[in-house]
Amino acid sequence: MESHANEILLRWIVLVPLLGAAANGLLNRRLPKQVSGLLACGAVGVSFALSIVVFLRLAGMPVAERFLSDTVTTWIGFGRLQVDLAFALDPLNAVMALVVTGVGFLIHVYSLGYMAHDAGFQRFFAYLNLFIFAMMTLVLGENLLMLFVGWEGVGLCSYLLISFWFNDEANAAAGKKAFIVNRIGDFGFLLGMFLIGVTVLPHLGAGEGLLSFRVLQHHAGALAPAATAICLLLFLGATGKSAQIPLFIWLPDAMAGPTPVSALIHAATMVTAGVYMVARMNFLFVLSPAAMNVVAIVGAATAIFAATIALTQNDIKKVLAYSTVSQLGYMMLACGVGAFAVGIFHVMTHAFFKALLFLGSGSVIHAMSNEQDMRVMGGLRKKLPVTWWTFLVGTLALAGIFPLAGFFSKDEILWKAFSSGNQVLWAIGFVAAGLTAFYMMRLLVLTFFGENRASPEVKHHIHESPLTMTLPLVVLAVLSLVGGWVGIPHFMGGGAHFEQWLEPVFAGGHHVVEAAHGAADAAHGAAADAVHHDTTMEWILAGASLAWGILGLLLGWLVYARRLGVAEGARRLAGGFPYRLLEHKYYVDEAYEATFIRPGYRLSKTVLWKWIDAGLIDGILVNGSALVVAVVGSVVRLFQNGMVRFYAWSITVGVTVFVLYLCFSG
Amino acid sequence: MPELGGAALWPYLIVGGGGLLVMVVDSFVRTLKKDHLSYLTMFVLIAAIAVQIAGETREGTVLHGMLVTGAYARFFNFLFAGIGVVTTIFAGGIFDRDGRHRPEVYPLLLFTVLGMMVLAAANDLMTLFLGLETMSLATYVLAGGVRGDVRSSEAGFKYLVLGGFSSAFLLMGMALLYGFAGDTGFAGISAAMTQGEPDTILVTLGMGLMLVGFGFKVALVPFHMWTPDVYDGAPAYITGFMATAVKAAGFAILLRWVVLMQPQLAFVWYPVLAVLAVLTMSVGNVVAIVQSNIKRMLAWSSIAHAGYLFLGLLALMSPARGGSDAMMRTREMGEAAGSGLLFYLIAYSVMNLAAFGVVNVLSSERGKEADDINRYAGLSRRRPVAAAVLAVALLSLAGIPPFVGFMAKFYVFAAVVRAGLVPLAIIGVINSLVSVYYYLRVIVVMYMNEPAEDSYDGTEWVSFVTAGALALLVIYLGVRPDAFHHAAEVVVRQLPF
Repeated sequence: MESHANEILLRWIVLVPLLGAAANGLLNRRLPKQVSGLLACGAVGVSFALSIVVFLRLAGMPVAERFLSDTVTTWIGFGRLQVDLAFALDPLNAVMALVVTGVGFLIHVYSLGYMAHDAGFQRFFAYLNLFIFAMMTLVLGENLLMLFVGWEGVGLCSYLLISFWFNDEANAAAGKKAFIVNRIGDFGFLLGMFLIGVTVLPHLGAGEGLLSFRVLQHHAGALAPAATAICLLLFLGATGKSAQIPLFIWLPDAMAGPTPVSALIHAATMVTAGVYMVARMNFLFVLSPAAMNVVAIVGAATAIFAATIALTQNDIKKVLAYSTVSQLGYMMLACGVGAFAVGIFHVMTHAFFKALLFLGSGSVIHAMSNEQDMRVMGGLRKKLPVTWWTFLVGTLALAGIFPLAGFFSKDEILWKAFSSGNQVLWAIGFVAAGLTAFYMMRLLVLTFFGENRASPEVKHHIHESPLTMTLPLVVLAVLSLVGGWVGIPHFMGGGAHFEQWLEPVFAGGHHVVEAAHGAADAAHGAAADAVHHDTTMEWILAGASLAWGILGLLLGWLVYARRLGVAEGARRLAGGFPYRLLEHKYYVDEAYEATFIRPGYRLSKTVLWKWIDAGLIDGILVNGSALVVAVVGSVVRLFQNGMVRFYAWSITVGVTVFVLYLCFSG
Repeated sequence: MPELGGAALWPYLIVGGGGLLVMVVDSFVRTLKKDHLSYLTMFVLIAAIAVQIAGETREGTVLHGMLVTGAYARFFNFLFAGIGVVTTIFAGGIFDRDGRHRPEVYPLLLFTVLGMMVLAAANDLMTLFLGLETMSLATYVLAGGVRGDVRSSEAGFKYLVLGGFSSAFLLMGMALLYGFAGDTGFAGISAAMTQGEPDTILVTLGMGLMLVGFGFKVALVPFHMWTPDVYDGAPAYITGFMATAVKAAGFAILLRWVVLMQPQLAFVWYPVLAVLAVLTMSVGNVVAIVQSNIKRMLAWSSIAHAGYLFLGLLALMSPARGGSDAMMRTREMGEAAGSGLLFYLIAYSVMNLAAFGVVNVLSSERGKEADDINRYAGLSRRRPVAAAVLAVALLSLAGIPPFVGFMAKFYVFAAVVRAGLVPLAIIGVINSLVSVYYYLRVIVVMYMNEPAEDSYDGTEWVSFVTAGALALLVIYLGVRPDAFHHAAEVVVRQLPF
């Protein structure tokens, strides 16, 4: 392996937020709010600045050598099993690091205003900083185990922050739901990791870290026989973290947390961890066409499934939550058709505009005295000008309107799906894109247009948010506007810089496949290249998807601003059943309740509790062994009588038995 | 092994001479402050450590083959001197507080350490007995020397009588072995066993009786009964010293002795020793559960730990049963078991000293031993650091990661499994599980019960800092055991497998 450039800054990117979390967490109320906020924002700011520094350093290196590493110490060293506590930077996680710390910093600043009056201010920032620490561990970890540590860390922070206002039982329940559903995914992840470990261990050379990504990539050939199983298990973990079918149910409930949390964790960063992990392990996924198909199909299905649910939701954050699930589906779809770079591109643009939308909705909720139901909103355009304009930008970006960020990434995903021969998946994604535009326009109209439907007191309090909240909105709006321009595709005369930047990371995967499939695949690659040169199809598809997005927006506008009767009609269609189906989220929660939760509960209550726990464990094992100990103890107490002559006698008996045995056994 | 010059004797001379010096200074220098003796003692011990580091490091014998020096002896000398330094700190702290000034403790401590050093380096039955008795005689006085305290006197008396009793068995065994080999040197005995026709009765009886003597010192069941009474009666800092240094000295000689005599031992003895190990672990743990006195509890726990250590010895011996067909593998497994055992001794010493350190500080305030577990109630609120140190030490003793107790058990049990003694490893793990109960009970009392009027308290900060440092060491060694474990491996390689 080539020599690695060493970069000790990497550990500080991760550690500084931890220090911030420690300061806020340990001193807590003793810290004045200003100091607490400054510390927290400063910590993430430093992390962001350092990320820029290492990013520039990486960019300054020759393309083939773009790799920085920072090995802190050997974490586990046990014979050949060696795992380092190490961080590494390559083009892929450099992008992630910038997005996480950059968007994270903006959301920290926003929270200064949003949480200003909250009693748990310091606790909130401690959790938020801890989250950045965990997320950066996940992103910068040099091996799968480090990634897993961060993975669990962000899960913990997510749980803590969803239940941040734990006095309300619904919030605590939502936190628990998120945690438990994620456990199921993490179980798959763990099994996948074990499988990798046992498969690759016999092939490791001296000094090679067991789960290091580079080492695994190097030994991808050895992993090939188990690739499908490993990838499916890892992907189960990703469906939990990135809210894909079947484990997406926790994300909408996670909106119980404070809105900045929804923006940071449940839209921009943590939920994309699954996508990142799949992209990180691309060299393994490409070895298993079956697993890739599963990823693509699950992604496309999630995209349309969640988009239809979003059509009918009335809670402003729920709409955005389902939209997030849907967009995560797009990212998975991209990974599934082998376009990892495009998936990561969408991770980035989505982070910009979805964070913007959530923060905007937070600003609305803030103005509406914590009201989240869109049915009592309306007409906020005039009263919240900054929020309105930035929200509009976010909506257009999400709807995929040229030339905003969302257009480029989403269009590229659809193109890759189409050009890789998955026309059905392309069609699904295409339909979902129209739905996206429609429900976003619905949200926009209900919130910002028409008459305000709130009660007079609430109406009286409506005010634009403070500068700490509007400034991040403006910055994110600018990013949502121009963020996609780094990835303007070739056919439009752009340089597709984003894809080129990530090329070295994903090229390895292609080499692996080529090595595995030989020349046949190379021929196929040439054919794919030929398609690339013909740009007519790309133009057609891009035009169609733009027109489709505008149509969706127009329809949304017509229905909700002009002809509310149509919406009423749709509601009553076919006895109101389709609408209710969507409103109740296809009854998925109810189905899980009936199939898994209630039987599980019943089993626990009867067999596990009454028989196993109360009967076997408490009755026989605990009380039984206590009885045994009590009996033995009282017997031994008789021996332990304090008499020296008795003690000497006991020694003598011992010696006698001992000696007799020795003499007669030999 | 080459015969080395007198330079190799320096550590022994310094500790022994230091003991005499402390005694003389205490008697004749009237202007002395109480602390000065403690400083002098520490200086002597540290000087002995320094000489070990700077001086003779070669492997060899001294005094015409009476002692054997080298890595193994050095390892134990460091351990004994280190425990001695910590004990001196604890002792000094408590004298300062309650006026129970006992200047004789310091020279006795040094003589005990000298005895242990000789014992660990013994290469002849004569030096073995000399070391063992030097150590024991000084310990009897240490345990029983609190004037006016009936329980202490009782402890010293019991220890003396039973110690003498067990020494008689040891001497008898030695005599039988001498009768067989016609030589008191280990090398001669070993040679006589491997070369000549071993006279089974003489050898097995001699070995067996010697084992009884050693078993008494390390408190194996059924030779353990003095332990709770003596550990309970002696002052806490002495109990800590006995539980760690004396036990380590016992295992130092047991380990060498087992390795030397192994071929003869393994076949016949293996079942007996397995029974002893299982009995020792189980009785120690089960009886510890019903104790309400923390010193007695720790005494029973120390018996249980002797059982775990003994498992390591068994793992070391068992490969020989496979015959000579796999010598290489045998050696490797023996080394794994031996290094696990040595690491366990370090771990056990550190965590036990931390625990006894806290008990000792809390004993200082009222001039009485802090031994009632119920009166540790609410310690976490009165003295959070002390409670945390004790909690760390107890969790480590229970074998819970990330503390060193876990790694120590891991190394020993892993060696046991590798030696093919899976049932014994399972029994060991179950025992370890049982022990969690009584260790956790103290933590529950400290952290979850409200402090009461008569709860213990203590303020002597030097001892607190020392105990705290030991607790940090417990954590550090639990996370990074590699360096010490590696050292143990190097030491074990010196043993003639």
